[in-house]
Amino acid sequence: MPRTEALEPETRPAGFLPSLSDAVRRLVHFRLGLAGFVIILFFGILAIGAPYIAPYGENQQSYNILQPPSAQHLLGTDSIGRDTLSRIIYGSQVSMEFGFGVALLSLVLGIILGAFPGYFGGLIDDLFSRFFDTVLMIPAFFLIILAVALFGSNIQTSMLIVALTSWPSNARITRAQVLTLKTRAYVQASTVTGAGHLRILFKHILPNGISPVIANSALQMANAVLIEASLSFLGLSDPNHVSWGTIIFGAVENFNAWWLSMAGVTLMILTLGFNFAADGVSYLLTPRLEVAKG
Amino acid sequence: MTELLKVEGLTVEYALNGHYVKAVDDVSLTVNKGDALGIVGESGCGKSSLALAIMGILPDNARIASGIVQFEGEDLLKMPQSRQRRDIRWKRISMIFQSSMNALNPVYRVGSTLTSVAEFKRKVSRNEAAEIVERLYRLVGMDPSRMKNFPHQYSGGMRQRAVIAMSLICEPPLIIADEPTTALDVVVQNQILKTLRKLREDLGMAIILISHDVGVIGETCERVAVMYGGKLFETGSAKQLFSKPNNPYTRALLGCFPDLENPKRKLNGIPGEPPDLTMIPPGCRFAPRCAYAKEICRTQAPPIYELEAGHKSLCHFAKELSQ
Amino acid sequence: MTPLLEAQRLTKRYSASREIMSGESQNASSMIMAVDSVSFKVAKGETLGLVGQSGSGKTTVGKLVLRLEYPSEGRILYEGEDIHLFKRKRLRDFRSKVQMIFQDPYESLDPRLSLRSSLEEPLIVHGIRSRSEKTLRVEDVLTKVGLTPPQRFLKLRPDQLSGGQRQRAAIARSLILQPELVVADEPVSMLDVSVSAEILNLMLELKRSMNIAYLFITHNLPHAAYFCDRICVMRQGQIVEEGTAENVLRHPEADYTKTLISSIPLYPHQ
Repeated sequence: MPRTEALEPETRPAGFLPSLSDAVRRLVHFRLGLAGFVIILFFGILAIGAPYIAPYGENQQSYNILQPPSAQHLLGTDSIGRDTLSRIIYGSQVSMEFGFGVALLSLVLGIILGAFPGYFGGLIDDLFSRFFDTVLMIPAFFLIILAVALFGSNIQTSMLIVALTSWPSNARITRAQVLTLKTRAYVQASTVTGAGHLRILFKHILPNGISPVIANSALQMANAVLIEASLSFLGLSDPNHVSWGTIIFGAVENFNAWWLSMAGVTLMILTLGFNFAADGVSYLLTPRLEVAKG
Repeated sequence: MTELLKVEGLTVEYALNGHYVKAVDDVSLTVNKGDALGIVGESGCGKSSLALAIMGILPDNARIASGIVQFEGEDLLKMPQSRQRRDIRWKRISMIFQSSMNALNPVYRVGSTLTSVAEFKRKVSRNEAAEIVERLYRLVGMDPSRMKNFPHQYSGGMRQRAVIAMSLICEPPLIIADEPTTALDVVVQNQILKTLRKLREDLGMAIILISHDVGVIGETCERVAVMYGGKLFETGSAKQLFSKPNNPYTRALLGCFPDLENPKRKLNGIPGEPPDLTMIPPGCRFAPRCAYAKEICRTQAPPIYELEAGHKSLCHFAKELSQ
Repeated sequence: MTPLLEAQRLTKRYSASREIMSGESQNASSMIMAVDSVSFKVAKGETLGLVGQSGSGKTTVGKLVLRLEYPSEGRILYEGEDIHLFKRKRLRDFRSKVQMIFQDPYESLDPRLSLRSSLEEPLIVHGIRSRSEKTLRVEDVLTKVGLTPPQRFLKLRPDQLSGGQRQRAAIARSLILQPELVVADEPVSMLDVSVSAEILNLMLELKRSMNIAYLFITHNLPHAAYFCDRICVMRQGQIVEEGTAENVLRHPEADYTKTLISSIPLYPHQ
């Protein structure tokens, strides 16, 4: 059955990663997705360049206690005279580290543990599906509280626990993609020319199926950032590094110091940024028809 | 008057990366009451866009750049969509698509779907509608007891029959069928085409049949139009086109179909690619692939030459080729 | 003379447990018999057509011959040996000698890879790594299928090619290991008729110049008659007729074949 090739919208297999120039062109049209990426980039720069950007030190105390915003301290100071703006800038380090760290680990775990069962099927697949469901039941937050109680508050441990409890969503998506893609003709063609399983998985299936997992990762970053902020708000985070949650807690402690809650605004913006970026990645996958005028 | 549909100078454009691409380029044709017109062409030639334009259901990225589509005396292009939906679509003109079989809602019984359409379009009671549908089932060769089944319980051929029945609910004078049998088994295809021919005899409706398969067109239609690159390259009666094809494209196209009497006779394909509609060359758009092309074909657009009454060919050398 | 390929009472059953079947109870015997005791032979350099409509089992036979699926019963012999007993080296050897062309030109090639990568993969898998040798063979095979100049096409990705060009590329990939047998499952069904004819002629030419045997699977009997030396007509998993192309078309014996032939739409004067 011949298809009408000439004028139908481009149909790409699910998960197809567009070329870079194509991606950029599409993003420019989808302002929200672009905004998301810009926000992430912004905070990334803040995090990396904190020592150079922040006007004061992370824990630099002064005698200007609980001052409202002024020319010297744009976002005021806290109960021991530390500049809020600087602490917020430094706080982005922890947030970004937590967000990216968790997402990366969860991504790698999820892809590997989702691809193999999906590809080989059978008993392994059944077992792993039950395993995913089980792990998903574990409440990450309480596990972290337990770990902090046992091992002390350590950013790496917390990251590890969050990643270990969130990888199944990536695994589920990967598995579904692998199941779909392994029936594609080009995959069968590779088998027929003698390619081994690993080559087929990593060279053909995963590159074609990975995009929804990346979108999901962006959402996981948002979630991780919120978890980290919650932990530090409760005082369960590493006391050596300032985090937005800690600053926000300062606003609770000192009720009139509203400027300390600005860390909540940055938290909201970054979380939104990850969400928009996730939308942006999804958008990149879906071809759009132009609307004819006239 | 016997004239049912008159299309004149129809041009349909699609938006593509900021440019407009002509999918249908200055097409004119006429369909009289009870006619069977076949439009034959390969993918990308514009035949489906032509059908959608007549029905008024082009997608958002397409527009009608010029032309008239006169149906029963009124210009459909100037008619507001609301009126088209109410009075024309499915009442006066119906359409059957290639993947019509998937047009049946899988969670409703087929009979129920059709009965709802009958109720709504013919403004009758549920019982009367059910009777109409029963009659239609028999007309298309299906047992009415199957009305209570779901689409997945039907074979592909049966689903297509159901869709044909659905298109006949208001007994429209014109049906447009776009590749109605392409997705079907060849044996089932034959049965469906037989059914369509019989329906024409019984109900006297006109049909525009669109297909890439000249055999399908040849068995069903009295008049044929050959489309290529958005233009009509040859039009005429089936007899004229198949026994004395004039246009080089028509000849080349016929040569692509195997001869059952002589199965090993060399099949001639057409070298090259269909034209890139974003870059239409000057001159004849078939020239790059034409065995008879001369210099003039590449520079000047060919005229429509009338060989005899009703037989037209878009070619510089139509006259020479007819000898 | 040992045939190149032989199928002996090939049978494949699928369990229907996941399908919703109207009015039939779910029990152990609700199995679908996709292929039912099919036997045939293909000699070196010969073209055998498997002609049938959807559900006839022809595609499943193709998958079984390619060892993409396991038969429920029966055997497939390649050069006299059971292909399911092949391990390692013999399997690798089999995988270089038996190739495939599939129906959908939009799916036969990995959309993310350039033509060069797709074509080089079989070579790499079989140990040919020298850059110059790979380039030589890839350019050679592209020229053979008419995608010239090869240097231009090497860099392109599938979405930059037309359907006919993609199918040519898929054919090129099937040839690069210089196979003895190619299983072609509906190689032209999704192409325009003008392109189909060209592709069929290309495959015929390659058959002659490279002495390739084909298992040509199609629903289109006239195409099979054009392309094949012999034809098997399949219906519901079984072979109902077998013979030379001309005989099956002009002097069909089985009722089903006769129905099939009389159903082919012909324009007047064809």
